[in-house]
Amino acid sequence: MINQLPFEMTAPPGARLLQSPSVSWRVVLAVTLVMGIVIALCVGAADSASAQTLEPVQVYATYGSADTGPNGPVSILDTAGAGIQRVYFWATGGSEEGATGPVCTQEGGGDALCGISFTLSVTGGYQMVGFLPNLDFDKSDAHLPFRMMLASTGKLVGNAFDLGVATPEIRYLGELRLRANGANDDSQIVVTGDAIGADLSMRNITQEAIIVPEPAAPLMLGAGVLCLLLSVSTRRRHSLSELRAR
Amino acid sequence: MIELQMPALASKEREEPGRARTARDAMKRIAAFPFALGLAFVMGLAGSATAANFFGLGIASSDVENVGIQGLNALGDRVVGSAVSSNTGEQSPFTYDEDAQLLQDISFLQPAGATVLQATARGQQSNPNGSVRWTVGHITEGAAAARSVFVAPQGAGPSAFLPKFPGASSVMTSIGIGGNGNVIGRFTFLGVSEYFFHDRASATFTILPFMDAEAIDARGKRVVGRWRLNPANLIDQAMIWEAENGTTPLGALATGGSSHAFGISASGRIVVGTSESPNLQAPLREAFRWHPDLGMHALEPIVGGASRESVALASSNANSVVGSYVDNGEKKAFIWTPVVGRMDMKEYLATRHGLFFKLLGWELTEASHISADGTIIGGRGINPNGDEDSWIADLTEEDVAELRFDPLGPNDYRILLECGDTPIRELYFGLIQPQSMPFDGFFDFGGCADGSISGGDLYCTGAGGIGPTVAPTSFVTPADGDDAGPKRGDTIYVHLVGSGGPQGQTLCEPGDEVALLAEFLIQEPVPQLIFNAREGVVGLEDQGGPLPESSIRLIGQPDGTETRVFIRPAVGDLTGTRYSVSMSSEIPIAKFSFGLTLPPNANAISFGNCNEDLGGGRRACADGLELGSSINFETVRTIGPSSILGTEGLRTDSIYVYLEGNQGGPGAQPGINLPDQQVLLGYFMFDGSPPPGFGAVPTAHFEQIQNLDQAWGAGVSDWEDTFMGNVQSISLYSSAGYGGGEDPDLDLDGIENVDDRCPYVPSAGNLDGGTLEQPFAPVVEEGWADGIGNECQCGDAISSNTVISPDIDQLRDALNSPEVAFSMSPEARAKCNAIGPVMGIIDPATELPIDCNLNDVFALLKGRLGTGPLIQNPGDFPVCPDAMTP
Repeated sequence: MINQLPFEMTAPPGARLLQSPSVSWRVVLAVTLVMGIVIALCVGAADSASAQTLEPVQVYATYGSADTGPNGPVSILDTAGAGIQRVYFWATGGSEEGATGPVCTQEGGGDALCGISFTLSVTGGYQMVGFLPNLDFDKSDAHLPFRMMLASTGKLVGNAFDLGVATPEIRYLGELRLRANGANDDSQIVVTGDAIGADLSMRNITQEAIIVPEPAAPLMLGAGVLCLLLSVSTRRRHSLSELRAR
Repeated sequence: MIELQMPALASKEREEPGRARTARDAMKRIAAFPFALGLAFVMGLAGSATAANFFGLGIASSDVENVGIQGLNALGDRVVGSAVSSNTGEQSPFTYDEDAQLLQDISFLQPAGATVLQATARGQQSNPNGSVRWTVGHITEGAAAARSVFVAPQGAGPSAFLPKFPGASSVMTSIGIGGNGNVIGRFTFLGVSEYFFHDRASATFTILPFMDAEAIDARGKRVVGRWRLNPANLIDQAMIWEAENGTTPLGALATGGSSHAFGISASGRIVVGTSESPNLQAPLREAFRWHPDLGMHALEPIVGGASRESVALASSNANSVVGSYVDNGEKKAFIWTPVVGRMDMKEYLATRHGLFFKLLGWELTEASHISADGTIIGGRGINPNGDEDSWIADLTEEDVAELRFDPLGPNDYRILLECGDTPIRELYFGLIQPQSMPFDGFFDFGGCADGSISGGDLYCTGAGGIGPTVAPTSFVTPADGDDAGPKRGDTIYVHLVGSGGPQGQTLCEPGDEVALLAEFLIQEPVPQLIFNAREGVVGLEDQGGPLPESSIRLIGQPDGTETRVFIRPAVGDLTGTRYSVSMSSEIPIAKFSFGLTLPPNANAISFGNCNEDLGGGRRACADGLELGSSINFETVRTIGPSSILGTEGLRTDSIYVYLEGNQGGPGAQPGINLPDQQVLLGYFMFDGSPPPGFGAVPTAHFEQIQNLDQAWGAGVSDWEDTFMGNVQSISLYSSAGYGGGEDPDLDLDGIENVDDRCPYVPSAGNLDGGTLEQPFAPVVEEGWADGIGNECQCGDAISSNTVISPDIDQLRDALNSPEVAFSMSPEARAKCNAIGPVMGIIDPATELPIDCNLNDVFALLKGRLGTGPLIQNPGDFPVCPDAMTP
């Protein structure tokens, strides 16, 4: 039904990998493995328990224009003067082909998405300045364009439909352009919405933050101090041992 | 249609040969044309919020004569025809403009370049969104035999003549036009006369198989008339023709007899005409109505016993038919509705709509046109000047007065009156005493205490509690215990005379505050308020004209919940002994009781075929065959008529009914109804000879129902009595055999479900002006009707009646933004759901129905491409679940 989330550690092309210098790779790996197991169990349980119930649709962002899969929220500089930054949006309802009737009919099945409606809600210092929708989202000859709107609340809303033959592939939605002013470390962009499933039922989009800021200077400073203290402590333990040995 | 005979006229063109009429000339003529009736028409046509009105089209102008109405559009806001100028003798087409309240020459609609001898307009219809108004007519050129049909598409280009068909020398006349521009008419070519149908989209002619083609529906799809069934014995019969389905013979009232269809409703569903009948000696004929479910049936006799010789000429979309009948050799106009039966038109307008004075001096010889919603009627007659004229009756519902019965205490009440559009001079009403009150029990109405010499009436000398606008000449007639004709023995009758208003003679004026009429004390509590209707008249308006029953609404309790119980003859019942009972309420109801009185000369009565004797006068039902589908038949009980009911203060002449529901009701209980929807409760029958005439039917009542709680016996749980507020009983008087029937009208818009194109959304006019546009299926074009009414056409977010791209964009924006959704009307938002499910709940965050989703927009978009789920094949019509699902 739904892809098991990959837990690759490599950064998408063009992106800067977030790594705290104070956390060892073993800790990261251990935490990742535990989370992976938990999520895998959850996903498996969900799969077996709800063969007829479609999972929520996931919308995620990437740094580059190539789909590198949903790797959690992408981090964007939240500093003034960083200029316009670009992120790329994707949607997936899963990878399962329909086993019943044709997709986008009431007899359809599988994970294909026939349409999508999403809302990007921004908080903090981010400012959305544009969205370039995927002009080929609708694979029919009609090439129905997105219907986008910047709501008065600062939310960017839009909907799109595939009037052709939808397939359970990852769907490219478009390119979001935004800038930041660095004023607020709580900046983030959260996605909500719903999508039309292959059987024309409505499927929810998982509500989650898909863009978050890179760690700010104080946090970086704190992490550096912590690293320094660890380093001093290690050296000190080494010194005591050496003294005892003497 | 019956042709209006117009004298040949001399035109300017004839006076000035060779001068071609141009549009500019025509406009100049408009300015000088003496048809303006100005203030003669103080009332508009459809859409007016004021009371009913009647006026002649020609009487107010001395400059025109022979004003002949030829067409009335479905909305009822445009009348067309022809009239003769008294000055020039020229016959020209006219329209009555509702907004300008003028009769206007529309010669400018004729194509330029013709030398017009005389002209007439025969029909006018608008396309569904009103952007194009089609007018059809014909002109006679220099030679009287040279006639041509013109079509004026106002809003979509210049006027043009139809091509000559089938040859260049054809003489062509028009008959009517549809909202899509299709035309019917007649041609004569090489000595042969036939009728034609001109399809505007394909610009093709079809020769119609009619002996006479008479009318085309507002959609421009169905044509009616008569065809020669049997050339050998000259039998002709009514018939429908449509391009898609060919011909549909309608038969005749008398087996093998002749019939002739003259009119068709705007929707195309109802056909009317005249037919040989078993009730008349051939060749006399009587009016018929043809309904797709009921077939052809005769209209019941005119109330009052006039001849059945008659012809029906036009029908509304629902249940109003108009025409003419013969009364002692005189031709007169009639109207038929299921509520009043068939009445002389003049009497109907005078007594039911208070138009008595406006009809003085008029003879209405024919009613030939009616709007889709039945509120605008047109016809011919003789005006008070003795001239032939055309008339319009506007029956747009007035703001009615309200008479309230306001309790101050168990035995103390106030009677309040609030005027509607009409000042009220006098008022007659009755107060039914409770069963438990002796007929000589104590009451005091307004301190009226002076007995009259003759009848024991109590005159109101101003000594007590009558209101400031009530004159002391008012009087009260106490109950005497004996029924006498329409007068009930258990009722106190009140006759109030006004003393207020500018002339010092009215009880209330429009716009006044609620007027106190009188205080009322009575020994036993809760009397019931009724009108002492004398032939439908409940009082007098300020000029002394009669106030019809429909002009006043009785309200038992202020601000009470409204529940209505309807009794009407059952379908197929020709004896007047089987009736249906249905009800509607603003609230969900789990259990319900009511009483049914026996009509005069009835011996026994049973409800729901419940004849299992439980003893004590109680009965149960063996099945639910005679009950509504929402009734749990195992719980139904009836009791009475029985003398033992008197001991509980109940009526001994009634059968009482107890019902429980089996469908989702209030809370977790099963209920018998859904709020604001009319449901069938069941049928009752009585034996005995049929009541005389139409009108003596049983009535429902609700007096002392609570006393029956302990009487139903085992198996029926008692429940706590709940005050139901304003519970009314409404009896409808026409036998279903005459086309009435018990079909519910769930949205209470006056159009029975079977005829209603929006059975769950109140609609005006029952119009179906379009469908989902399919650009790649050219057979589905603007104005095509899909059987779904304008008010519930799913996806029609901008209310253009046809679902086009801007509608879908609007819905997409509404789903994106609550601000956009809020900007739409509630009616437009309600049309979002295209494929269900139907939830019937509004999302308070957006005011959109919660079943308005992205998949509905997807379905509309796919439907435009001619694919599912809304459309199975290109060219199919969509089905709107919200429109057809309760």
